[in-house]
Amino acid sequence: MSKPVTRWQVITPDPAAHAAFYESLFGWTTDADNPLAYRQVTKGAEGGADGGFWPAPPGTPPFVQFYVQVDDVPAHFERATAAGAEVLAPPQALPDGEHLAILKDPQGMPFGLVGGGGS
Amino acid sequence: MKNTVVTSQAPAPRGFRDVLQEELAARCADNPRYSLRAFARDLGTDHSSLSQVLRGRRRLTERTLRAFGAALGLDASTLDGYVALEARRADPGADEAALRSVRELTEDALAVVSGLEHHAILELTHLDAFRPDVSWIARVLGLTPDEVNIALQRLIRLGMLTMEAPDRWRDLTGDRTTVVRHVGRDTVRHLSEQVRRRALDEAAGDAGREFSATTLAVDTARVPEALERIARFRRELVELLGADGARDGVYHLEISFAPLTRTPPETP
Repeated sequence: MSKPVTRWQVITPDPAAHAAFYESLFGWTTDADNPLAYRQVTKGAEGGADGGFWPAPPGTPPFVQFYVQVDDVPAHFERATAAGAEVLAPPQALPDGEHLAILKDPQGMPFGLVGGGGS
Repeated sequence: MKNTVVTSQAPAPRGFRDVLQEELAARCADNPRYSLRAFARDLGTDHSSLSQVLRGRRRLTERTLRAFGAALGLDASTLDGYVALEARRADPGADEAALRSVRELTEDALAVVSGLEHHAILELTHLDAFRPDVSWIARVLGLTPDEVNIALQRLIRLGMLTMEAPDRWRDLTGDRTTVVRHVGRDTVRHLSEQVRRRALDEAAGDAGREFSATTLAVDTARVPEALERIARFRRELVELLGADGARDGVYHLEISFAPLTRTPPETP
């Protein structure tokens, strides 16, 4: 199974302003009507990866995180940590049923895993 | 109900030895009969070894640090921070990233200690009516969804909360009352301001609340006894409210007892 980047996330101290900028620039719409009140971006077109805007504490420089879709988040989480990645958030079961984990690669860049919870 | 001393979970940048010294001091303050020997027993070691560690005569190995940390109820991620800090001290040439990681962890942990919302979210997960829904949590606690999400990230990152199933979040700090003690003054000030604001918040409704303060002249010789009674009162209240029954609210008890006058010089 290929493991594509299916999602990006802008981590920002002002997600509302950040979302508004890109909405006006590209005609995107955001929808926070989900259990995590996560501002998801709906591009309204086929192709490309979906994304969203997630809040960070005041003073945090905004940055983008990419998420790789995998069939088994816990298994890939183990592989990542064995390969030297640092744990930022261990595998979690999101309210929408998906699983997610966030790690920092050995070079210091955070990235995410998203997908199934394995067996 | 939880009974975590959250202060101990905040890795002070000064190192694990300071944590041990502060914890010993705190226990001695709570219980006048408590001693280094008792502390050594609680940590699973002998008082001679502990004494050498506290005086810096003996190196803190990772194994000892983890054993002591576990005995103090510190979580694994906090201990990782201390281990990295001690390694950095033992080897000044160690990777700068290790120190950065400790700093980030420290900032996170201090934010958790001083941010009332973190404790409140953990307590909410114990309610029968808890809903793993950020908008619901925000409404119940009078926060914005963004504030809830920032707190959630910290709690997950510090290993204090996990979303173990789509409909189930678990407080990993245990089913105990959160007790915040012996933290820095700025942290206490921040927490107190939040509590006061919440206690005076009309929107919180008229559910039972008590908010009072008394200033009095005291015989300082009796202060240790007063501290003991405060500790007993807190334990009794936790037992009373932690008994079986419906859990349909989260309350915060803050006890502050401190001198307003400086200690007078001893008369000859």
